[in-house]
Amino acid sequence: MTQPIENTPSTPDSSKFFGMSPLPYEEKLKIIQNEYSPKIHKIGIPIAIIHIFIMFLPAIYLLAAYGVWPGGGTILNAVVPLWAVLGVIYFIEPLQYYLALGTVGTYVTFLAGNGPNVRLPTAVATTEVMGIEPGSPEAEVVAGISIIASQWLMAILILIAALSITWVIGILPPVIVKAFDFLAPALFGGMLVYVGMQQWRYMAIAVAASILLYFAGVPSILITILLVFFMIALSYYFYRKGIWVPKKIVSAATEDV
Amino acid sequence: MELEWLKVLSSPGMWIIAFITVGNSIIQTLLFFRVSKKTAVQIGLKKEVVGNTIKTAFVSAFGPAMSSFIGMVVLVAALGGAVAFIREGAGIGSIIFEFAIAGAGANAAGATLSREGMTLTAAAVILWGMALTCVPWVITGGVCARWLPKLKDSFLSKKPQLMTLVSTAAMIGMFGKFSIDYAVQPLKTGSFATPFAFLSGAIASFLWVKLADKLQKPALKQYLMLVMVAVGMIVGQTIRSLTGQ
Repeated sequence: MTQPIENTPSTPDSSKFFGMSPLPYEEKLKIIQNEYSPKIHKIGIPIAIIHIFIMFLPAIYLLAAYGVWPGGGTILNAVVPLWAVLGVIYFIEPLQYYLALGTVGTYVTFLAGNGPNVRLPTAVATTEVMGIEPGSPEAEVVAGISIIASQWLMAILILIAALSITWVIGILPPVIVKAFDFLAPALFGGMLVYVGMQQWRYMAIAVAASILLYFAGVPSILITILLVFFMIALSYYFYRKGIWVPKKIVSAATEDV
Repeated sequence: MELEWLKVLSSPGMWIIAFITVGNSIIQTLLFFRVSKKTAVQIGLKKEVVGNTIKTAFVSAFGPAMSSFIGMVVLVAALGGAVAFIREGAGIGSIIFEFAIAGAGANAAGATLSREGMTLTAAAVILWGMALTCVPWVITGGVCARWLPKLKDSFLSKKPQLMTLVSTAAMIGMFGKFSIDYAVQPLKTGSFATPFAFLSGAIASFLWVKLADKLQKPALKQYLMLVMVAVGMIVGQTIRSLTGQ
């Protein structure tokens, strides 16, 4: 949407796109390609690298301040199945969203998240309201600013939510606080069904296979890894054979319910 | 009495880290904004466009941003306010993803994702896990963003349906394993409350999605997480009270 498209000159006189600049398309494109994009990359890359280190701070804090180190093996046991799940998503999602969110939008989204549920609708709605033609150099800038603004708003709202929810939980009666013990089971049961409803046959196979492995005496942590790789192999094989191929698949990795 | 792991995860040190994490994202947006504002003038956009874009974006983003509030309730209840602020303020994965790693992390440390069942070691596994599983996104979408246009014709974008199907099947496998942890294993120790919470969450999820589809109101799905968690918690707590466990 926001990537400048060749051979689609903007039409400033069109009533639908009343917000367009009167400058020639080639001139605007040149500014975006030669000045704007290099500057954005110059900011985006180092900040992304810094963010990689920042992401480890909570875990490092636990290690440095409280001496808590669970061991590399334990961490890998938790992480490897997730890496297997997300392996291709790590590449597909930036490729998909890059075209829709533009340069700034991609940098903000892959640092702060909420791509499909907040950034994308905000960018689409804002460019439309502002009378900007999708795919134009103007859209690259306007969509970028809208995504920037969405992060300012999100940061404030999330902070308010974190503080207010913490306070509310603190004053809840003990019986309700005790009920939080069932938050994870309820959530995991619900999510299994939500993700599995699109491919219920896969869900049935996964549950049956996990029960089978459990009663076969396979260690708990190994079941996760075996199950994830089994499901990857099965879905790939079935896709190649044209079996149970759904019409529409929604990624659950970054898509919020 | 406040639990030790929750006390640590909600400590001032963790809040400082939360502000550093979200702060980095805000610095990024401020620097981008400076460039974008200048470019808007350069490409001939009207003077008022920047201000109006911000105002419109605030209005457009408010509704979708509020949907994150429900996820926040669940995340704060499970891991405390500071970690929830870090993850939702400047983390990348969805709530589903956050809980997948939280569940896997707790499981790997031999703990369960509950207030009594969690330990500080399990919390550490979760935090290392959240970082390690999110870093690839920052690399592909951030550090390598410059090269994404060149990659768009690669094999990865040729069959997005296959790639998403494989990932979804793997995700189902991951959540399928949780049926052992929360529905089968507790039964061995004679605990019925947890399996009932798991099953009622699953049933509530199914019925809510079907209801939203039947009424043709997809917006109802925003409340799915709240519904399944509320139903599961009520059922679990009721069963626990009735069985005296």
